[in-house]
Amino acid sequence: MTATDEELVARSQGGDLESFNELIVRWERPIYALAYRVIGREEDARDVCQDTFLRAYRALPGFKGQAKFSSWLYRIALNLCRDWIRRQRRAPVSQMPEDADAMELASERGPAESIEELVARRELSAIVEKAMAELSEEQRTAIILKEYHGMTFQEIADLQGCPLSTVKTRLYQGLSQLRRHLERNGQMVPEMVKRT
Amino acid sequence: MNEIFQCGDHGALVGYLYDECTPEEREAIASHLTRCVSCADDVSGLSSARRALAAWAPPEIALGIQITRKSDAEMVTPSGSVLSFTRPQAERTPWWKAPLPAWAQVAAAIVIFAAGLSVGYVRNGARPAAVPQATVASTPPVAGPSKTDLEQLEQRLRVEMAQLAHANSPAAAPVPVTARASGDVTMEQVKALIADSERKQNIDFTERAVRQNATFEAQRRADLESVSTRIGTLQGQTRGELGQLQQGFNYLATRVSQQK
Repeated sequence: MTATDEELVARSQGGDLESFNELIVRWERPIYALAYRVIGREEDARDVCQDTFLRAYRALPGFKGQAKFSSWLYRIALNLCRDWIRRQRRAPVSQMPEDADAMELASERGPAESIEELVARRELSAIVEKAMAELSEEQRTAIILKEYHGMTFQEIADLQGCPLSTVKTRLYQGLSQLRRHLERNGQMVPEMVKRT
Repeated sequence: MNEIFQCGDHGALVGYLYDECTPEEREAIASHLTRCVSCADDVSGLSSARRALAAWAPPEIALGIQITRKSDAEMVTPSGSVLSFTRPQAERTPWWKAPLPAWAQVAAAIVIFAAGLSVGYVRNGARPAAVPQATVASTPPVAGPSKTDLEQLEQRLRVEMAQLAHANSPAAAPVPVTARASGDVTMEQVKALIADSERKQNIDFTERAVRQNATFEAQRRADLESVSTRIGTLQGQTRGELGQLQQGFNYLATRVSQQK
């Protein structure tokens, strides 16, 4: 039977390193995805992800379990992302390569996806990434947490330290701006686009 | 508009969009959307933006983060642990840029060597009479490599190749590899490489074709617009000329009638 996060945290606090490593395996990809989407740079997102787990490990004795372990991790990661953005004093960059490697493309392709569909999805992804980089940090983070991490409005409000109504406003304004950007770029968004 | 939902309440619309509202609110908003074009357009546009977001995926990378105990590492934690980070080996390089593996180099050497031997063998066998008699007399006859020699050489190279391939693959199981088995493995690897290459070329070609098609389509539209504009201009000019002819004809008709 798979241990819960709480059980693994308790064992880690008792000095079981392997339990913490299991937590890392469980959460490294979501944390990396969050960091990448917020700051937009692959290498820096990797560093933020690494730093998140290092900080979590160091702070583990002080973690009392008031919040979910994942929420705690997300908070650490978001703080690190915010620090990175302030340090860089710039908006996230769109890092989509101009000439994608064909083998890379092939490996990304879904089982029922043609090359043409894959290329179209890559183009749309680049446009979305660019549009998201133009949003304010708060709007972008709210959308990322909602869309890709399935958080509730309340969870986002707790993470962002703002009222629930503010979260809704950020989502509305962010999505509206994204919509306008897509329309300007003549992007048709078909119904069948699958979440990846 | 009703007590539960006010038209233009963006927060409520977002709640409806993400299905984070009470059943009453949901029902009220759904009912409102059938009557209010503005709110319906809002919800439709936001849904469209959400669908586009599904296309945005972070790059797939190997993370491999883990905590290990090392006292001499830089980032030592209070408990003496350190966060080690396994980075991926290297950026993926195209296959044609990657250095040839040892087995491929050996295979290439075999092919070149065998070709050289074959050429020599054929030349010696095909033109024995061309060798001057004096030379034949002064030097002992040199026989070309026999088939057995070639087989022995091939066998030896295969053994060396197997050893090289084995040395280059640490993950391989430590069982003895026979020359024959190694040859099969090599053939499999060569076949896999060829298949990979064909697949890559196919994908590359399709991608280029898609881009080319898009460029061609854009050019075609621009040309059509240009042609349409020119036709319009020509039509305008023709109408002007026709008008002038008409005026001339009228003038002549008037003059003729006056002369009569």
